[in-house]
Amino acid sequence: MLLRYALKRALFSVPLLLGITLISFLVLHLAPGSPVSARGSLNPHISPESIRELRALYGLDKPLSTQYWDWLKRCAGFNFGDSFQDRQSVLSHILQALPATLLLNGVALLLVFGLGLPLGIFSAIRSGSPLDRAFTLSSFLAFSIPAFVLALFLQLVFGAWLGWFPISGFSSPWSMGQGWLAQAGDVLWHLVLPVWTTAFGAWVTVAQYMRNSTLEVLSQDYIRTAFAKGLGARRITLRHALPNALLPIITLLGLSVPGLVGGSFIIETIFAWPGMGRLGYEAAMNYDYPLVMGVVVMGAVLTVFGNLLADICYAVVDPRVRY
Amino acid sequence: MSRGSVWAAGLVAACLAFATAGCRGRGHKDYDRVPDADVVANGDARVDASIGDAVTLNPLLAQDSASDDIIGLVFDALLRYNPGLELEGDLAKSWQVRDKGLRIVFHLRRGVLWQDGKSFTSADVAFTYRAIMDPKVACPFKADFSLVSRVETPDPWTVVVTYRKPFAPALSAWAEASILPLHLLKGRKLSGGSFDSHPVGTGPYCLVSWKRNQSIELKANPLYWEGEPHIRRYLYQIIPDPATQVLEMKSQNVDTVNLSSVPDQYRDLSRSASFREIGRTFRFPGFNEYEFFGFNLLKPMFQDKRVRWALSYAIDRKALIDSILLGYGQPCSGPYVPSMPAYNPRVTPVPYDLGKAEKLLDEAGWKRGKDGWREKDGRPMAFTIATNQGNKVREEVATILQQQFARLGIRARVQILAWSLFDSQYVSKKNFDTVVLGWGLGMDPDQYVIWDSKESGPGGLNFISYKNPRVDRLLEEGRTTFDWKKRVRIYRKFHALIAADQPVCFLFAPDSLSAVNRRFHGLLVTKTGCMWYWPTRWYVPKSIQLYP
Amino acid sequence: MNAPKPRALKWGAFFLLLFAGVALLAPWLSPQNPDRQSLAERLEPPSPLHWMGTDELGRDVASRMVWGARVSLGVGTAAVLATTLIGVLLGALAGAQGGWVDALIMRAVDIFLCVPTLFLVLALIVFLGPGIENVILVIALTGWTDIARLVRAEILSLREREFVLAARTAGASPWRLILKHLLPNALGPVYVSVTFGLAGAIMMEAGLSFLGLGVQPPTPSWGSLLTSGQDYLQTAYWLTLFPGLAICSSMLVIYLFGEGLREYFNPRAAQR
Repeated sequence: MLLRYALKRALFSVPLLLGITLISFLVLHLAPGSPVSARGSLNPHISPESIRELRALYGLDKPLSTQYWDWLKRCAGFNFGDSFQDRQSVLSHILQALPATLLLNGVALLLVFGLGLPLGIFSAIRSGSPLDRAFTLSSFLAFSIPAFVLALFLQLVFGAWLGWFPISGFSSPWSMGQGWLAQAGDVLWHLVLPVWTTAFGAWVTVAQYMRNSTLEVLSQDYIRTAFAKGLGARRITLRHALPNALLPIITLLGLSVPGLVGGSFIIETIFAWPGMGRLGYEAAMNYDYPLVMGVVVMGAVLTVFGNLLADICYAVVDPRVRY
Repeated sequence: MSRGSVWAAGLVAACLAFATAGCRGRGHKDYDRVPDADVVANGDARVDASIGDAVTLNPLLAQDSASDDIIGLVFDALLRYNPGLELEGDLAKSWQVRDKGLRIVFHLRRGVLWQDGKSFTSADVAFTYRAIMDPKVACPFKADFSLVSRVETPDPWTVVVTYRKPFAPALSAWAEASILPLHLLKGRKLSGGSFDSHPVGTGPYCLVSWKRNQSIELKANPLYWEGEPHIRRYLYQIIPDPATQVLEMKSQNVDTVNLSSVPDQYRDLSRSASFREIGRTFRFPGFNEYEFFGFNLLKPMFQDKRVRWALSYAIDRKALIDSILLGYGQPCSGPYVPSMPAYNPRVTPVPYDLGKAEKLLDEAGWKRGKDGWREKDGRPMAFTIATNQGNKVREEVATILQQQFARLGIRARVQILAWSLFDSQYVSKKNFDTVVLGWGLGMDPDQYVIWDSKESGPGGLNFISYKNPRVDRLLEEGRTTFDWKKRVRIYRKFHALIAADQPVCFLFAPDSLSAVNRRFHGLLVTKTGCMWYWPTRWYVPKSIQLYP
Repeated sequence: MNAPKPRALKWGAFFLLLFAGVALLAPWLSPQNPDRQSLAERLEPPSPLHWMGTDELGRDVASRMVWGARVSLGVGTAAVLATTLIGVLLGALAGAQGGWVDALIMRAVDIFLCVPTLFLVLALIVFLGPGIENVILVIALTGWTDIARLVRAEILSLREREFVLAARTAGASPWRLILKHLLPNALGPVYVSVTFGLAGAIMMEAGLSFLGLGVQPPTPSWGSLLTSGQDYLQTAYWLTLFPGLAICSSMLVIYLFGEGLREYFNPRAAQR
């Protein structure tokens, strides 16, 4: 039953993915501008003939439908083509950028759930307490600060004024050739500001989600029954309420999968973090079609996959979900 | 407090501990008193900072300055420029121009070895030419070699290049083309292969490792034909933020940095007393790059020379240089900058003169209306100033020009567009009123593709549609004349002609600003720069070497 | 019973009006002409004369902030109105018609949700070129999905209610059904969503201008002010601090107002 459900859902996502790639492809290719003029400056050495040659080389002289079909065929074999910029394979570009993004978002995600879940539960249990009020107020504040503003403020205060953390970058020049411990520490040190920027908005969302979900569970009849039976509040919360309150969090986890890999290009650009977000942004700015498509497809696949995973997990833990 | 936040606090504390460990600067030695200052010693490393990573290390594909920096160290060309901005032999020991420029004969240096130990011969040169012209390779400087009809190699040490017609910039083209190893690339993919990231050349440094977006490490080439460089290692650090570059420069983690694009940082660094103990700052007039305000000469308003001159008089170039470049720049009078031989010293930059501007506009029929804005035949004097996004200098120039023109009663609107959009939809299609742009050119004074009337077609670089038969003649003459003195005379005449026409308002050339750590000795500082021949000349005395 | 709920609406509305007032009265409130350059006075720190300092071209930051309010809030409002129009129309259509219309619209929503918003926004901006009108258009074109889903869900739940069934049996046309019976009853949550949408739109404009793809110079918006300040982070803090604070405080006010509205339309949820 479960398998059939999973398969059915997976099948449904195929046309969705096709639609996404088609739209991205069209948007990208119909946008004015082209990779041959995207070098960022006028170069008197490039003649119009060599631009025509370049177009032919990139296959841009073929009709759009042919280009899309060719691309799709290659994709089926997990070949996303070569970047226009340096003729290296798209996959190698992605594999080079992925670790930095995984690190940044992985640590941020740990922080988000490690901080958000307990806070949400706590604030629900002590609903109305000063701590809960403080939490609600601060969540308002947190929602109000866009990531790029927060990033700049953090850079301003902790980077420029206090000088505690590096303003941007992935590692310091001096760490080259040092022991791995020093190098790891150096990366961690660079990680602090971007991680806080990434985690800041999200942990409040998670905490609020958890708070609402806990409150909802606590108002259910079976919890009241448990209280009526005279079980201890601690035992009730831990054994009865929490497992049920955590259910919706699974969805949230599934939804964070694409973000984990996709990377935020605003944050990565501000902090000069060599990850997926920056890769995609720079590729888009250079009209590097194969690279942009590769990044978009990966993002889309992960989004769909994350949703799928969340649905399936949900179906596993909550039998009420119809197969 | 939840357990999570305690954990987070712990993380922060741990990072702080690392931070303090990382912040330590290098305790530096006194560079004023170096006992062995004159003793040339081997060893140490030079750490260079760059805003961006190299895109590719394949000379056939490279277009960005970071790629060129590394490629220039790994590869050699046949010729190179000396500090007097004249050509001299590199892989070619000497050369002759024969048959009125139809044939160029290169006599190659003997005994030059590739970094893998194989011998360099004329076959490599012929192969490089074939690679550049290969239709499967998107080589950006193909056009420079399009007039070549034959490349012959009568013996391993001689190359004869035959041209369909005399082409004076050819020598400069050969000075920019890195010679590729035939034995490593024969029958292989010329672009997209492993050579792109594992280049082997004849240059002073060999590639050790390339960590994308982090660093490129090179080591001295023991086989280099001018001798193994004294500085044994070269590290190219990618530091995207100029402020961080300066911080690292101050703490001696970085040895050289180019600050041309951030005059604020340069000024602070050059005024810092503590930095002067460990480093020197250098300022040179910019080589061959200038910013201009260009007109679309197809628009009737700008076909009137009086309007172009009026707008040129209305531009306060000194204010532009002072506010945008903090004074680190030279005003321009024409298509060559003052440090170039072709620059005509008798042509002076257009002065700031609002009175003349007002008068010229009135004469041209653009009179002030009741509201103070100018108009002619009921049409207001209004146009757009377009420039590309991401270039702070140009964005500021456009914004300041808009204000300076408003004083004259002209309504200008600023348009800032992503490069690709700007290039393909506005510049190439001539769909603009005016632009703020810059030209970065090579060492050769040839500017045929920018100003010749035949280059004003769609996609051509003469996108302002400038047409002057006298200029066309001079450009043709300059291209076919090999005699350097004659060429200079031709181009000075051309410079004056263009300045008189004002098809664009020449604005300024930014200075080249840089800083170098003081432990390096043997610098050759001329009025054109401080990096000349650094791989063979620079050394660090033993007592102050920083790296093992 | 947490947060000052009953007061949220009142205070939110008060501050929102205050912001709107600043934006509307910009010509009178602004101390100086926001575009007047004084190259001799570049990058001056806050002083009694320029109480938010001057920028890299010597323009008065306080004046630019006041005019920036007009652009930022104006673009946000216009964009959110357009978003709502598209969202409500498509959502209502999907909910009321059902069948293939519904399927088509909802698949479009799915696709829009899966393509990264920023990618779409970037591509569209490049397509249309930057500028105020296009920023509004792009935010509207990419932001309608949430409201469409919301309206559709509301309408689906309303469709089976007696009064709608009664209207349908009385022979009301589908459009009349949507406009007269379904929509008015589905709008409560839409108001709330519109408020939060406003915050999103202001943030999006700021973000686009931050990337240099928004309003064109010399027009000031909070986002574009923030961008130009980024280059001077170490030397001129006032260029980032004030626009940053303005963006954050406007967000805060809008969220407060939205929370108040939510409670007004859905008192049960507020009891949590």
